[in-house]
Amino acid sequence: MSKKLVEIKAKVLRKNDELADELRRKFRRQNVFAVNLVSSPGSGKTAFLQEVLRKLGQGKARALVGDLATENDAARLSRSGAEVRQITTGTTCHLESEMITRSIEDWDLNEFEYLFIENVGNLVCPASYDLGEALRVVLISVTESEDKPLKYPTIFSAADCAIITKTDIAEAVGFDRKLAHANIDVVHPGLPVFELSARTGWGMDEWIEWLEANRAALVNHNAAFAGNATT
Amino acid sequence: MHEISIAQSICEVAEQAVFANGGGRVISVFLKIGELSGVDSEALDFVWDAAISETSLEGSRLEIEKVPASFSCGACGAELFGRVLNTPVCEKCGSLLRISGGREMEVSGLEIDQ
Repeated sequence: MSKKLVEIKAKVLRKNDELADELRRKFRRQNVFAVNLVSSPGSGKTAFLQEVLRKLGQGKARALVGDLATENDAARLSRSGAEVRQITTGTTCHLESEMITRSIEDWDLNEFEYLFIENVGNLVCPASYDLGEALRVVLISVTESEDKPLKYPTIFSAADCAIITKTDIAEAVGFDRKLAHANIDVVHPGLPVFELSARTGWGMDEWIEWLEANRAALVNHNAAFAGNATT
Repeated sequence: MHEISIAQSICEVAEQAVFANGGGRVISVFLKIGELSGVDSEALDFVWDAAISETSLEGSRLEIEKVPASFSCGACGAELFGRVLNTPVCEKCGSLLRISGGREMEVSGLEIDQ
């Protein structure tokens, strides 16, 4: 018997990352724009998504929704007319790329343009797991404290956009929007920040326009890339 | 609290590496965990024994090296270390900093008894 030191340098989440890359390639090929929604529980992800699905119109978007238990959110989101699947994770506090692969296995990606993935409500763990998304959106409601970005910098620094939700009750709860913006800017300078209320619809159109522009950019990029590849 | 999932992923990576290196019993697993990786080293250490019981890694030790967050300045090239997250502005030129390290979550090596 002899002791041997082996150097490996392997990413711990290699398997998750590989599967996520595979998903990303697949989404790109079919021009499906995948969006990963992360936030703490109760910040309004489901209400927001319900409104987004409704506004995008039937057939354009589908959604996966992660929770530890119950099919409640899927049932709620289905009311928008979009096809929605629930992922119940049991005890796991986040979604992993393998769960996404399994959930969309029998879906034809040519049939829709957007895939929304509502992650398990948690501001810590989902930060570590790439799901193959094109866009990671972090939500924070006006009822949470303005220093959330400072307390959970990892998830804010890994996001592509931040959304402040429930602005219709901002005044009632004494939300300091200036401070919230400043704190987001501290952990992720230049991060696009939107304010909106899914209940009144205020600010929703602006975000959807931004979303559509992002998808258009990706589609154009893919088209240019395909053009280059054939010439 | 996703350290159990993380521990299981470490286990998979280590088992593959042991196989690729001719087998043997794992004594230590060397790990690099960045300050911004979202993983709590203490929690990981705490769940390690439970996560690897009844696997080929049972009885192995986890050796964690913590990697501090580091930042680099896009404008002047300065490198800064430590907890400057709350002021992500370059001390030298005032430009915004980019995260250049601290997101690591990597199995760096193994000690194997063969």
